[in-house]
Amino acid sequence: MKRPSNRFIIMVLSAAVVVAVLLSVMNFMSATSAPLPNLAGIVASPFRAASTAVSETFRRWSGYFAGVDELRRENEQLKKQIAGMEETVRQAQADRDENARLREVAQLREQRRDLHLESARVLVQDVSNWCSQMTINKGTAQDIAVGDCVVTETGYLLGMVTETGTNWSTVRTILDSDSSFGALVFRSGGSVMAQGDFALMNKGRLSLTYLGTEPDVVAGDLIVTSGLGGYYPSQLVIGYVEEVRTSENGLAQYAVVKPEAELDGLIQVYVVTSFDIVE
Amino acid sequence: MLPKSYLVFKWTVYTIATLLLCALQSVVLNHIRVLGLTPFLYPVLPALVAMFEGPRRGSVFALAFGLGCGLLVPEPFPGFFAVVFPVIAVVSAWVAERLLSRGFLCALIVASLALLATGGCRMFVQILTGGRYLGLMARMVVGEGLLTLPALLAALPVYRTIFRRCAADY
Repeated sequence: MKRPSNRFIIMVLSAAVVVAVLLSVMNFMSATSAPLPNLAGIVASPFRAASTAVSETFRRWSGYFAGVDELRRENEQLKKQIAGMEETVRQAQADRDENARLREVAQLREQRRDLHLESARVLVQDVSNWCSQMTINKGTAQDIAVGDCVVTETGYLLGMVTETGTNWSTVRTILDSDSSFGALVFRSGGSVMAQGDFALMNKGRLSLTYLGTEPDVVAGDLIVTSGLGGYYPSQLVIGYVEEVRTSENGLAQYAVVKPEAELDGLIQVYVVTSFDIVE
Repeated sequence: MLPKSYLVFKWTVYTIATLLLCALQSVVLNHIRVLGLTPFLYPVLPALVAMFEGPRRGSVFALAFGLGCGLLVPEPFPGFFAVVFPVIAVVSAWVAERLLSRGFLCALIVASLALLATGGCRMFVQILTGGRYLGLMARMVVGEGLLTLPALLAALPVYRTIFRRCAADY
């Protein structure tokens, strides 16, 4: 067999390095997606949608019969939960009226939360053991920009847009080890940082850091976005604290948070394209 | 010298087969989770093609595939797969030409090397960017590899058939 020349192989490997450098430069210089990834995203969109549809159909079929008993149990639980929530809503309505009266008396500005949402379908969940991302079917054409928050239909925080193309966007989920959000412990109002953690990512959990020397965080605490700095809306639900742990070096504590948003099998998400919150 | 039309036909078939195997990853493998890990077939594909086709064609295919992969699959930095896959292809072709004949054992070894190399490079990038959990990452690379290797049973026959049929025709 004729041996391939080393020169040719070196040329191919050099071309690979040059391509990598060029792509990195293009990616660095472009605010949105570079032209090549954008084009690839546009071309791949219908195929991604088709493959998601096929796998979704398969998943639905396979889970149709297996889940009947579980659905009955869940239905019973939900009925009880709804009854409890109706009571809470009645109480909240009374509190709201009282709050409005007191605000009028004290001449305080009315609190407002205007979130402008753009609905999007998940084209593909970029399943990788090293990161947690998803691609959605809306992009710059729908005013979606890098840094926009993505939530579920119930308003639970899913992640943040990290890359946008014409008709697609990449969303880095809150589990990804590069994710970090300013957060609040809802009960105590304590300021913390919700961060993706490489060790917790594959377990579907994230960590809560900067708890301070005497952390006022306990299992079961609700964690919401702080909205400090105005980059993200406040009061978006991140999840509940599962446990508080001491770091490996024993110097600090962190909490493990179970996100409220169910990341597996997501179909529809909402991108917060702009928001106006008065608190 | 082989006719140009033959080469075009052969590489078109290789491309279609690769796209089908990518669909396998997207539709089936992406939904398999064992201990929080998912199989990752992509590095195995250029390794297998290079095993059959040799380092020259294999590395060019790997470069093209790495580019395509990088545009659609999350990677640590742009062009990561375009750099790693050709190296994997050259090593795979070297193993197939110098150490073992192109059989299942050879495929198993080149696939394992491809997965280890990709995982190792990811680990290296993570460490460079301040990643901790070295032990966890190493376990992940091994786990990902073990989880992916059974998929070789789907990928190997596809490429072997193409290689043999095309070789038989000419």
